[in-house]
Amino acid sequence: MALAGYTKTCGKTTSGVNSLYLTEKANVTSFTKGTDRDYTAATMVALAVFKKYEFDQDQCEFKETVAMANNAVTVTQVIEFHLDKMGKLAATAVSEIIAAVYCGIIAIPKSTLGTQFVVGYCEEQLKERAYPTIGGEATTGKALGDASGETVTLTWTTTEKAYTYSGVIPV
Amino acid sequence: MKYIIDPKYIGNTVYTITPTYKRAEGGKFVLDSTLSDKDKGYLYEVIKHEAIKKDEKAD
Repeated sequence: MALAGYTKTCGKTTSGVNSLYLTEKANVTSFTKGTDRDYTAATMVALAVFKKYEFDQDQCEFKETVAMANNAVTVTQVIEFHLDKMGKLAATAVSEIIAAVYCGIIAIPKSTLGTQFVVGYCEEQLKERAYPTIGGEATTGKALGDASGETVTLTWTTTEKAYTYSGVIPV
Repeated sequence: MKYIIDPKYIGNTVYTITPTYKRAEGGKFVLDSTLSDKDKGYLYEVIKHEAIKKDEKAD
C-alpha cells in the first residue's frame, strides 16, 4: 500500500458514539469488502442478529491505539460503555457479555457522525481475533446525584485498524 | 436463471446497502430459493458478494 497523502475535508464534526451493537462470533459468516477500507455487507447465519446496547448520551467510546514492538504492529481496539442503574438488568446484560467473551464477540459501534465500525473482524485475521478481554466496574454511587450502573470495557487486539461498515445493521 | 447461491451460504442472511430499486426488505436479503434473480444480480454485480455466482449453465 503506497502512501497517498491525506486531504482535510471541511464540514461539521462531532465526537462520540450514539449506538452500539454486539453479537457472538458464531453468528457472523463474513463481511464483504467494498472499495478501500469499507465493508458493504454483513452475512449472518440463519436468524442471527446483532443486539443493541443502550446507554445514556456521551457514555460510550470506541478508541484504537497502534503500537509496534519487536518489529510487529499491534492494533488495540477498546469499546467502553456504561449501562445505567446497577441492578438485575445491568448485571444480566454484563453476565451475558462475560459468557460470550469466551466464544468471541464482534461489535459495531456507530459514531455520532454516522460512521459505523467493525470491531473483532478484519481482512487480515477475519474472525480469528474476535476474542476481547473484558473489564468493568459496577457501583451504586454514594450520593443521590452520583452515577449508578455498570461500566464495561471490551478490548480486542489485532493487526489492522477497524474497517468501516456501510450496510444496514443486522438487527 | 443467471445467478446461483453458493450452497454453503444457503440459509444465511445478507445485510447490506439498500438498493435503489424498490424493495420491501430494504438491505436485508435471505439467501434461499425465494431470492429473486434481480436481488441476486444486485448482490453479485453491485455488492460483489461472495455467496452469489454466475450460473454458467444459463449462458
